[in-house]
Amino acid sequence: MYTQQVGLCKQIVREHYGPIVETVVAVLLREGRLHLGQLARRTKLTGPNIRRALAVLIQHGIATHAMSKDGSRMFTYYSVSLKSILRLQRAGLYLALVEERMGSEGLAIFRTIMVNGLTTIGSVREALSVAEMGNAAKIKFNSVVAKLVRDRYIIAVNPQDTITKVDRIMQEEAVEVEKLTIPPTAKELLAIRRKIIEREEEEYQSSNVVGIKRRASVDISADHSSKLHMGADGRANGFNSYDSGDQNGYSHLNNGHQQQQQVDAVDDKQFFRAYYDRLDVFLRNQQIVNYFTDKYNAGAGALVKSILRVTEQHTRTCRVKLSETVSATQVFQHISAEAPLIDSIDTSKDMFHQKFDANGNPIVDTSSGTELSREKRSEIIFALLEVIHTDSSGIVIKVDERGTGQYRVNFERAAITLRDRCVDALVHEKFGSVHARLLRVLRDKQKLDEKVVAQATMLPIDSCRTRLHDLALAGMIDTVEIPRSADRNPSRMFYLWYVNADKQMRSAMRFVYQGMSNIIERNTKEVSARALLIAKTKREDVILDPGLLTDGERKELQNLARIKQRLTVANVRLDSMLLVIYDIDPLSADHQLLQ
Amino acid sequence: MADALDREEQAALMDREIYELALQQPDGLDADFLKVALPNYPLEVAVNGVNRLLKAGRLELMQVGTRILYRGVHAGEFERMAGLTGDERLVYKHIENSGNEGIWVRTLKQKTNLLQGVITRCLKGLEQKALIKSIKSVKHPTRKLYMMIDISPSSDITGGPWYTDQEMDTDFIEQLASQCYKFIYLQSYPRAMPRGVYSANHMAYPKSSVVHRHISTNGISTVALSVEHIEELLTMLVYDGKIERIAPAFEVDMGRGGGQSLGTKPKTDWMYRALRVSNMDSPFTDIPCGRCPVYDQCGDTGAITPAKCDPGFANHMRAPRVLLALTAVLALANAANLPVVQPDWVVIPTKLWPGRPPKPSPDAPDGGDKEKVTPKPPKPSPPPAEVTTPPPPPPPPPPPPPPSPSPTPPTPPPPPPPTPPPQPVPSDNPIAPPQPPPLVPNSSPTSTPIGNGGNPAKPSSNAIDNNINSNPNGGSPPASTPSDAGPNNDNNNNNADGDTENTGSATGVNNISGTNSVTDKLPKPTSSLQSKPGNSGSNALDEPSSNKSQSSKLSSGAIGGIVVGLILILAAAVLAFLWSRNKRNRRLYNANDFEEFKGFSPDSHTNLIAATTIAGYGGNNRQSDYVRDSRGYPSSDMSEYNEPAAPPNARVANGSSGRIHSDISFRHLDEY
Repeated sequence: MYTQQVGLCKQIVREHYGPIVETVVAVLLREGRLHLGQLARRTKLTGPNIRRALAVLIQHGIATHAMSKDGSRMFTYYSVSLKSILRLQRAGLYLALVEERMGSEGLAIFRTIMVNGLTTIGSVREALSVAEMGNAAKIKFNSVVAKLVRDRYIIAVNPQDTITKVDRIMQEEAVEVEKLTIPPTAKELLAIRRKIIEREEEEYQSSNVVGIKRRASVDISADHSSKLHMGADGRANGFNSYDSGDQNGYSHLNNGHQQQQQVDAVDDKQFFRAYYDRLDVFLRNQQIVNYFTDKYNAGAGALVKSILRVTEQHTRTCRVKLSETVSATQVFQHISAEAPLIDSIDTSKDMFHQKFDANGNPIVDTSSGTELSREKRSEIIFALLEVIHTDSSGIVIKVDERGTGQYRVNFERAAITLRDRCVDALVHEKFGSVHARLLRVLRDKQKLDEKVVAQATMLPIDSCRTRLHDLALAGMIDTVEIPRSADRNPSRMFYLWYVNADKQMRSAMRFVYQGMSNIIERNTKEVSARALLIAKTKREDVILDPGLLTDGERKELQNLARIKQRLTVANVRLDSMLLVIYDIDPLSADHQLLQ
Repeated sequence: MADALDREEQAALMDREIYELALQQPDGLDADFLKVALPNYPLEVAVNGVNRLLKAGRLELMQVGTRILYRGVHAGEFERMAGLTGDERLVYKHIENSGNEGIWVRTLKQKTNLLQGVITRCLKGLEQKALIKSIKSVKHPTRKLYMMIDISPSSDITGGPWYTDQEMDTDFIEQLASQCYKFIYLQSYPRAMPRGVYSANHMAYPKSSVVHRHISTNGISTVALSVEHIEELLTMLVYDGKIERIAPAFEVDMGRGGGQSLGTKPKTDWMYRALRVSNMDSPFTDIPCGRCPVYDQCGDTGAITPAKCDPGFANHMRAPRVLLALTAVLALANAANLPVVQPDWVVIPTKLWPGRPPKPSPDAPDGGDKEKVTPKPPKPSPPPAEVTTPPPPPPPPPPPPPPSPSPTPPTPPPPPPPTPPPQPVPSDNPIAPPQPPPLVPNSSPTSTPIGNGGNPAKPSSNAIDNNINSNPNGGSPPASTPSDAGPNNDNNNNNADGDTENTGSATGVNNISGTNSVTDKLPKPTSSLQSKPGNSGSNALDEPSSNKSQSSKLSSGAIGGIVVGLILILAAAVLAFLWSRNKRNRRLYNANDFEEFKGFSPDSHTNLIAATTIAGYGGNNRQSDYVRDSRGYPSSDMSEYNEPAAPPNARVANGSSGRIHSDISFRHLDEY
């Protein structure tokens, strides 16, 4: 935890929940887990206010609680999750994602759940006044909710989920230990812990969707095409759930002449919350698509997007290191019809793609226009797949030559590539291109003496030394001591420069946190500078008659809106750095699992 | 005798034969070789011949392992070595053996076992004979290396083509790298497809040899470069993120790695492809924090905060404002006829600084006189030679000045000025103005009523008006009349035509300080004029020599005026800066003035954000409404804390109806 991170969290909480909740969060961040009495003493707030603040935080999944014994008394300790707070910055992105994939109906439902934190579908139904709508709308609502649950955009929540995870594991461990007649040995304790972790992992890997149940089959009219096929886990298979256009949540079984339908019904009494880990997968995938779009072209990006779309059904969180296998044929079938494949690759000089006429002369493709034939389209896709999998990043790997080729996405490599690219851009912006060159040399060649670095980067030794120290001061690189003699005399040591990936990541995150914090503060200042004007716009008479605002005031309001929009977009872009540097790394995702 | 001659001839013949044999064997020859090569001579005779040649310096002894070899010394080398001493020869030999790598003095000392002084003397002697030269290595710039004068130092010593005058030529490297990048870029993408790429099997990407050919054939570099040098450049470009390496289809040994041992891996002949660096901007480009020099000191409190962030201030605000302030002060000083602006005729009395004696003037009749050091009324400045503009109307007669209570002035206060004439005096009236009393401005309580002419509220404006009127004189000394020396000359605009000393210094001081130091503006008494006849009179001033004398006499006062003017300008600049900064800070918090400060307006730093920015993140090719509102939903009641939130386990629908924004509705589903 960094100072900048805490400051940013406080600002975010203040912006979203107000100053009282901010005070409580600030104390919990600073002091760690506390019970109610300790909170009251440290925050100087009244008991009801603290309780309400904690209720809000628990409702939104920011705070967790756990019972623990302190002396002879039992206390409920509260703690907050930094990651949950920082994710509040991405709420707009999450909503945009849901809107893109689930339509406006899915957006309305998801937004209601986000606003209310933990909530039941019945409450959402009430909030959106579904009861007053027609039958079609009700059916639509049910189907969209079922799809949200099935695709894990929202996830069922049990009362145990609000308990601090570490405490829950410790409680389970205590239960297991109590079962033993004698105090456990170290080996037994280790086995108990391993068993608990395995159970957690099993629950995580389980494909069962909690909170959804399949009702009895119902006959439906024959106007539905039978595109969808039931998968092994009862879910719609692969691509059909996306491009069929039939998003009503029905699954079809083509059972002879009789068409049957099973309705996925969601329990109205079950509590749900938004599953942000799953949504981060979509954001990560978009970053991978951007990488290939920038490096090659939009056609390559569309190709990677289709690969990821096919595999993301099975990618629950960013912990997954390798995607499922996708065949080139699947990619061909799933790629969007609007993908800009025309003129995306030149295969005219490729001996493997060259075609010859009867006389042995190469056939030159003179077809042009906006339409591609199926044959040409497949040729372009397969050629682009070859380009993508031979990319130096190693993100897309070819696992088998069977058929048209089997491909997988290495998310671990993708995380490293994207992170390095992001850090390079940061160093390039803060220090310049020469510093970025130094960083790349050290990352590629590991530990180097400054003379060798200067030779590799073609810089004068003194200039190189200055720049290396700049980077070291910013925490981007580090030195390691190689003693020449056993006494480790500093004057007789080699000092080699290298990239300490962990330290570099932390330094970069510190920059990002500070930048986001600055943006929020600037936003606050811009609003407070126009507080009187904003207060005026909220007056009842002004709301009823906007003509009471003068032209200058309207212009100022537009100016404020423009400034806020730009600051928000800058904040979103900085947040994307945070996502790339830390959140999508499978290792850090593993670490976050326990938080 | 004849035998002796024969023996000598035979010995000379044998010596020649041995010498020629030795010259034919550059690696040297030994006794066994001589025995075989000279079968007609006994070995003892041959050895004697070798000894003679060694003594004459025609042969050299060499030891290879345990073998003793003799090497022939060429004629040229023999001539060079002829004038050398033994130590010099030893040093010379070691330097010669070092080849193009050179040898360091310390190494030389170790190898020759000579004293440092001897080595230094030898090196000096060899350098004087133009046999050796000293060079410096780029690896060790402090070491002095010696090598033969006709040998070019190796690239390790000079640094190769990248070094010019022992320094790395970064400009040359950058230019060459840029040319390489352009060449590779042109061949990396199909020209017919602007956004297209070549297929994975494309093998026509340029290699280092192709780039080398391009550089050398097009004459891009005047320095001879090898393929290895080009590879160094390309490696640098790879680390710049501009190009990337592609492994060739076949690991071809291009002959560069084959000369090594069999186990050595042949050198890979990489292909290079340029990268499209269209999207190199960082999110930090959008905000000034990316390049902010005080980023680490920025916080939510203190002097450096995001709320006070003003990155444009340093570039756009500070310099012009200070410049404007300085310009304004200078204009003010100009308008007030400060000596800074016109030091030729504006003189501040030296008595303004009592401890400072006036500078003696050689042209002055009393120049160099010791009496000048004592506090005395300074000499009156000469009247102007010619005045082209009519003088301003005369001021009304002022009241007589009260006696000054200040005990410091060494001279008594000036007598009451004469009554000014009612009409402007012709400009050709050459009467020198009287000397003002030697009082520090503002120090005389009597000066205020006198100087202001009974109107202390407008001291500066009068002075400025007077000086503005005096500007048409073009800097020439204005004429003055005796009536100009009236006590209320401020009101009569006679400063422009009157006493040069008073006009410059006193007016300037008054204008800047805003007080009434009319003491300086007091007209000079006629007695003073009479006491200095040499300095008054238009006839004297009409002469160039008199003018020169005048300016040189005034130089001490001018220096004082310049100092005062500079101090005042500095003070005014500081005040102007503080004022402008205060004004800026006030404006910073004034929302209506925000448009003026583009520097810290977010608009200035978010210009790279297009409408499709979120497409790079959210995947949607348009900017969603919900992305614009980062929170995605309106402010909830929780931020106001007017009502408590629902408990965790309660059904939120009961208490959440008020927190759902009105635009979230499901009404549109009715259309289904």
